[in-house]
Amino acid sequence: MRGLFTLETGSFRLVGTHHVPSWSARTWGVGVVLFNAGHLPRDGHAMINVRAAERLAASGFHAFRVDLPGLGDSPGELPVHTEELFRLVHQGWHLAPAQAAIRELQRLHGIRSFVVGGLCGSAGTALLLAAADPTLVAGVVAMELELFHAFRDVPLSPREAVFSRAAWLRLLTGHGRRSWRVPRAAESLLPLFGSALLPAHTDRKLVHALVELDRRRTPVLVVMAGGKRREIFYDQVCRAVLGATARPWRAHVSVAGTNHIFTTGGGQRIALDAIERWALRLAEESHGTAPAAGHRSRP
Amino acid sequence: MGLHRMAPPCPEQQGFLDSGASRIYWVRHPSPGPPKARVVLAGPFGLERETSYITWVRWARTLASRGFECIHFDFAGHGESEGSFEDLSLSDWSSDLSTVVARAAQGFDGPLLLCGLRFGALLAAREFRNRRAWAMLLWDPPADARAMLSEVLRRKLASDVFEGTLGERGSRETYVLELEAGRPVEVEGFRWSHRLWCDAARWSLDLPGPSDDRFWVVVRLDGHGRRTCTERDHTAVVSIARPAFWGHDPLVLAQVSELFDHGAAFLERAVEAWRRRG
Repeated sequence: MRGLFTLETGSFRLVGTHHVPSWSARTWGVGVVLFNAGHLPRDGHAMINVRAAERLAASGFHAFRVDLPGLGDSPGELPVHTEELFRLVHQGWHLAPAQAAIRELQRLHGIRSFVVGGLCGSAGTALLLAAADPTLVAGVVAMELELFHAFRDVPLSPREAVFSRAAWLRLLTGHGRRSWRVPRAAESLLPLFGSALLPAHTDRKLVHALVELDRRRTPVLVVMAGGKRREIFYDQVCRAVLGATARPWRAHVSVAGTNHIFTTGGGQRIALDAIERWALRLAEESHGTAPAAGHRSRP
Repeated sequence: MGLHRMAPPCPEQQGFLDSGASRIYWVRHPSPGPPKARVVLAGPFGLERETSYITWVRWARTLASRGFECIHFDFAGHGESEGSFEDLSLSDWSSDLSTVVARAAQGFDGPLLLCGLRFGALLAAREFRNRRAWAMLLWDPPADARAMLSEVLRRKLASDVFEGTLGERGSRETYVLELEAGRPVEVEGFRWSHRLWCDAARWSLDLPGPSDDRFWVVVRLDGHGRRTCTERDHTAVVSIARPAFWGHDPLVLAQVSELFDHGAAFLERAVEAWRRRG
């Protein structure tokens, strides 16, 4: 069962869809909010957000999908170029509307806290939001989290490269064109340098948010396309700043044989299975209880 | 850095409409004053719908600001509409379009216009036969549904080769064999069924005959062909940037002002003709 809503909050008018928990399931006190992947509408690539929300609602969660300003059916501003949109999103452009939306949903439905998530850009927004507002966010689902700035670097001359810190970092962390020349043995020394050796194009704001959530033991599920660029980068960043030790609040699911948007190799189903399992565990561990009967909303 | 306001001229309304077993999601884009016409937009299919969504909404808002009331919707099994994509096929989506058009015609005295893009254009052409709409604007319709599915399949294979996710099947022929054998195939995240593949073979672009005196035009967007066309031969050519806005356009806001101007001018002429006709 799904219903539509419009949130008028501050200067934002946000359109969204509410997936009401199945009446046969126990209703959890934790809600789920998913935001747009890139510039797509709130349903996501091949409706990944719709399917995630449907499954979570069937498991007893209030699941919401919200169009951020300018995207989908929500009015707002947009840049012309996709690259510019991603640059803004990495800078936290969507943080304020995402926070306003969740605060409003909390007020309307009496839900204590939320799992926030999405794919790619919205995974980053969810991470920033969780770091900024720990009372609101119970956990983060980050699909294809992009911990680097994707914009192109200005090519350097060989002389410039010798004196460029960024070029040295790229070389040593395996992201330079000549990284293959770095001896294998040197790679094992890299973790010793910690965050000092994060690749030059690392999104440090996002990495700091990730570290902060880890420090607070906020549950984070990271679902990545196995062996692809974002996963390799994520692994590298985790080794550098979080250490190699597994932590119960930090989950990483690697989906093999799929692409960045999980539209091939059955990647979507695997990702959704992982999200549902993780969300149920989180709800059980946080002793989630059903909101009072009056708060059980219908669209 | 330039930001462009994506604002409707009037607050928009979203809702659901019952169509068969599914509820269809629709968005109404009202015009500031009394509308000169109502336009039903039939959009593309699968991943093309998602990648073109911003442009589609911009088109609806552009028309609304020029005095047309617009309605766009999601076919069942797509976007916000209910239904499972795998269980649906062209006849279901055609029926969704008929439901929306019938609803749009209810209680409206002005002309009803149809605009279809890609897959939606194929369905709009068939809906036009019901004579509920006075004019029809088709953007880049495929010759038939099978041709369109084949194009999407080619795109999927190219993407899989590029991503290194081709797997064992590895060729278009293998996918076609699987579909024909009745096994669903995952294409761009959607599970295509045997029924969809078979129905597509019977679904060609069905244009009105020469005796039909209503307004309609097929607009090719590849830039090839004569650029000076008249409504009499029902074809026009507008060039848009490639990759197209329903593909992997690197722009969030596609450069489509020529296409929008051309489309709006056509719809204005259609409304004028409807008024003259009385």
